[in-house]
Amino acid sequence: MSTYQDLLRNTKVEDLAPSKDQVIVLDSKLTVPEALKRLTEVGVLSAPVIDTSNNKYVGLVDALDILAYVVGIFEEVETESIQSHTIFTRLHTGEKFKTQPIGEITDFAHNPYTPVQKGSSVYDACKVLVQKKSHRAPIVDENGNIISILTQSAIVNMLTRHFGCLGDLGKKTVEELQLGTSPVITVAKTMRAVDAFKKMHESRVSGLGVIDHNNNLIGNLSARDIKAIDDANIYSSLFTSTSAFVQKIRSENINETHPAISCSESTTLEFILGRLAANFIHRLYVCSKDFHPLRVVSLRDVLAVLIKE
Amino acid sequence: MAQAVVDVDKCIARLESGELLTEHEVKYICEKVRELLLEEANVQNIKSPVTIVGDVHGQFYDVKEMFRIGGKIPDTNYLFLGNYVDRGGYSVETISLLTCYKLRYRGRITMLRGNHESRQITQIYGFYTECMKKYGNVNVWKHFTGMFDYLTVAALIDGTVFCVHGGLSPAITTLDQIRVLERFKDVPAEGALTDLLWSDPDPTRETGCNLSHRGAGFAFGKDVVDRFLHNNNISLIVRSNQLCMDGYQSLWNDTFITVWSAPNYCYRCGNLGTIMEIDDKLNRFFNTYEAAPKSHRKEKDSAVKMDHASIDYFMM
Repeated sequence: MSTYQDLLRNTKVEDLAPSKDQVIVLDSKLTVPEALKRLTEVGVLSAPVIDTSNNKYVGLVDALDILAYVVGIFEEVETESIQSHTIFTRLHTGEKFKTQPIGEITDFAHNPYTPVQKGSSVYDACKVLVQKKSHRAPIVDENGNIISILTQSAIVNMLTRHFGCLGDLGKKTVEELQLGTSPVITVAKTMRAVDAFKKMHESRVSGLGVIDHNNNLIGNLSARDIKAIDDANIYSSLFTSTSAFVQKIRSENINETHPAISCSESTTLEFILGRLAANFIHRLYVCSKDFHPLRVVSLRDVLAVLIKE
Repeated sequence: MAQAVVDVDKCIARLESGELLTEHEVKYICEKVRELLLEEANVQNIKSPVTIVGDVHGQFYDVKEMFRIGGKIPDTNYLFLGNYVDRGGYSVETISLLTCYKLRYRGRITMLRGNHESRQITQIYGFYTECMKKYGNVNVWKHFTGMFDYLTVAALIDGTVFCVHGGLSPAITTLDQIRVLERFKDVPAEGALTDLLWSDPDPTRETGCNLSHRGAGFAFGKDVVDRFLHNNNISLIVRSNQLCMDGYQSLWNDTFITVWSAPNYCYRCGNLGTIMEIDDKLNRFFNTYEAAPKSHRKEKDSAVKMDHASIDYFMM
């Protein structure tokens, strides 16, 4: 049985990524709501944007870019004086959101651009992703054209398919490995959703914990939840409380998942990888017995442990 | 402690006619029921005949329909498998009525804890919001969630039919292990208690347990069920937790049954609801029913209160 190091070094990046014709590409003229719908339909968080008039690659766009854009237009509105803050301002902001072409916001979040060459190893991709704090590595051919995208999730999924490859490392606990970061960035459930997204953007994270008045973790708000904004009514979507916003997203799903998937300090690395993969999530909260969030373990944190020499 | 003694029969009558209890009455019934629940074992022994009811999720008018079909308490014995609140919009009425029934007819109704009977989950899936809308403050939610910590987690009918909300746990092979669990606390993120409330069967799995898509509990295969039945000398496991279009589903040669009692779940799934009637010879009858007609629901009142609440959130 191969160790995880063998697995990472012997797997090529393109083996874990969709093939060229499976990669979803967005037309630069699609509006932001249309782009969000498309990304949601396909179940990806990011896509290359192409100007179809000349077939030129414009950039990569992901949920964080859209988040940065939304936070930006609301900031503009809120810094205007009260007198000019009329219903027309709101209609205008709503219209802006509805008609904004996705091609113009590809770099709004200033995500690091971390391409890897086709044929390079997943191990090398991990190093780049961890060092540059990037969520995904575009795979480029000899001419620098993007042919696919390798995500952190795909790497974690592969590891969970090779049960036991983590060996002794897999049995180590959160505490032993000092896995994750703290303090956990959280928002009170009563905070307006728009302010929660603003905090997310300013803290440069892609997810935050939602806590109740006893500082207990009750939910998670992800950058990808921005897709739940009702483009017909962005004000009422975003001006509700974070808990109402999360509630609305979750009420769409009949088969519920736990709203704040978490573990304890004695949970093993192996179990954590399994949870991240099984639940299609990007972070796991480490909580005390009374649900106080202590640390947050992201995909990056997990990959960082695996490439440590 | 509550100041005045509450007339539970009057409370039941008011609830049945669609009125809410006062905050004081909720506090009283929760305190009294907690005392009863303290005496119940983690695996509560029940004698047949009994009617088993699955998730009802705040669908009060469907619960009333269910009582019409299954028979009134105390003429019929009931075992509820949990998930009384969240999603349905009438969680307050539902849990208030069932709690009153428990207080009034303690031997005729057993209430298990579901994964929604938790402070965390109810703040995201609707019960908390509903309590705030209907009472204007958080106290009623606190009283009920405090009572939830005392609900028992499993029942055993005639020593042979094991009932739980969710399913099995890799940490539990015997009933005695369940009996020694410390249950008087909120549902943790992981562990045996959590698994009992969150797990699901995986019909595609012959062996072992897998991490559940729910993010809590496990997805367990046929061999886990067979071993549990064998080790504990029981013939059947009955649980809820998962939507069934026909209101119930039977797996693995009728050794594992899911009962679902929220018809037209979320008022859009179009499914049936079922209650499982077990007679004194342990014969099973699935009594299936449709959702109560929409005209039965008191939508007007809730709508008024909802507008008021959303104005609070709609900040200029």
